[in-house]
Amino acid sequence: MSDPIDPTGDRRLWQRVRLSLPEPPEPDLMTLAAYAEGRLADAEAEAVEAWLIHHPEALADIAAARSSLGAAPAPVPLPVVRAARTLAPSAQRAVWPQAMRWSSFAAAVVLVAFLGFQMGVATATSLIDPGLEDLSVEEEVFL
Amino acid sequence: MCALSWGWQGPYARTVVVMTDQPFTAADLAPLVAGVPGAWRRFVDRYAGVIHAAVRGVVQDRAPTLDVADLCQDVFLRLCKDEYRLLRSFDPTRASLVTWLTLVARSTALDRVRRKHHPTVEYDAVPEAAMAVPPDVRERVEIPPGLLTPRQALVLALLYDRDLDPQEAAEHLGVDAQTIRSTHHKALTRLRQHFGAEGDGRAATTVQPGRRS
Repeated sequence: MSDPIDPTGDRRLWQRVRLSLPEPPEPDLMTLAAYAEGRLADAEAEAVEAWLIHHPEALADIAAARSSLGAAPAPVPLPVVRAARTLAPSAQRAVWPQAMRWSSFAAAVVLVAFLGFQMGVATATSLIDPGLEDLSVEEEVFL
Repeated sequence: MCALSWGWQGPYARTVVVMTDQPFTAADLAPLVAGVPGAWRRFVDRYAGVIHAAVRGVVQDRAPTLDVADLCQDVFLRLCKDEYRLLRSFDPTRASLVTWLTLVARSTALDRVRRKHHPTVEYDAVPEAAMAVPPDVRERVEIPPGLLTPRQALVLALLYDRDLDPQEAAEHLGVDAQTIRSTHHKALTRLRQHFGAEGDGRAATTVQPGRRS
């Protein structure tokens, strides 16, 4: 039958024993996932459990991962999905060509404005003082 | 096929149900990490539900004030960071993507909770052992390697350190409660036999602080 859990003697003995147990390095998430699914070899599983002795709170993560396997699809707020879709590195890379397109458009606008200004200045100069040009021509002819 | 259905969940909360009826196999993962257009979108549509559920579990337990949507974005960012470096580490021969993603999501959420939130725990939720007067642990007891298996030690840790009952411990380890009771019994028997056999030798195996053997 069930073994009575002694709240005093056995607990104190365990707490003193635990201090002497070595703590192995933290397993990676892939190993923990394999442990959750029971796919590890005995030696690997024991290494994970030796680590879990010192981090029993991680068992909640493992239990959640185990139960997620057969879980029904959960509803997700649409903004979460939409925001996640924009995070792909390819989408991030696409930002640069878009910036290039805008830069080209801006440069074209500046160029057109500059050329238009120059043409306007030339036209205005010829209209304001037409005699000056005629005079110089006449002088050239006379000379 | 990934099926999307529109609906309403709660007032003014538009939701989309993401079906995960087909596993995201290694064949699907290769185009994703290669940056094939549309692959990331398919991945998000299939596994947003898994990630959202995992994050929501952490938030409900640890930090109800944190925004689940923000934490989900953290998880997706972590997955696609550095040209999918984390996703590239997934090995489909060792575990399923759903299990692995749940661990990634919970680990990311817990990191954020630890960094930005000081959790408040209800009084009743604190294990009795954590509130009790700390045991006299000035003495450390050495046991020979192999006296307890890691599983036996883990069961003792769950029962005595986390104050779980056998049924709760069984759920954490994915076994039945009777296995927990049996493992607990065997572990205690081994410890008692060891120290009983040593008799006065128990004192000899006691290590004072600062005098590690």
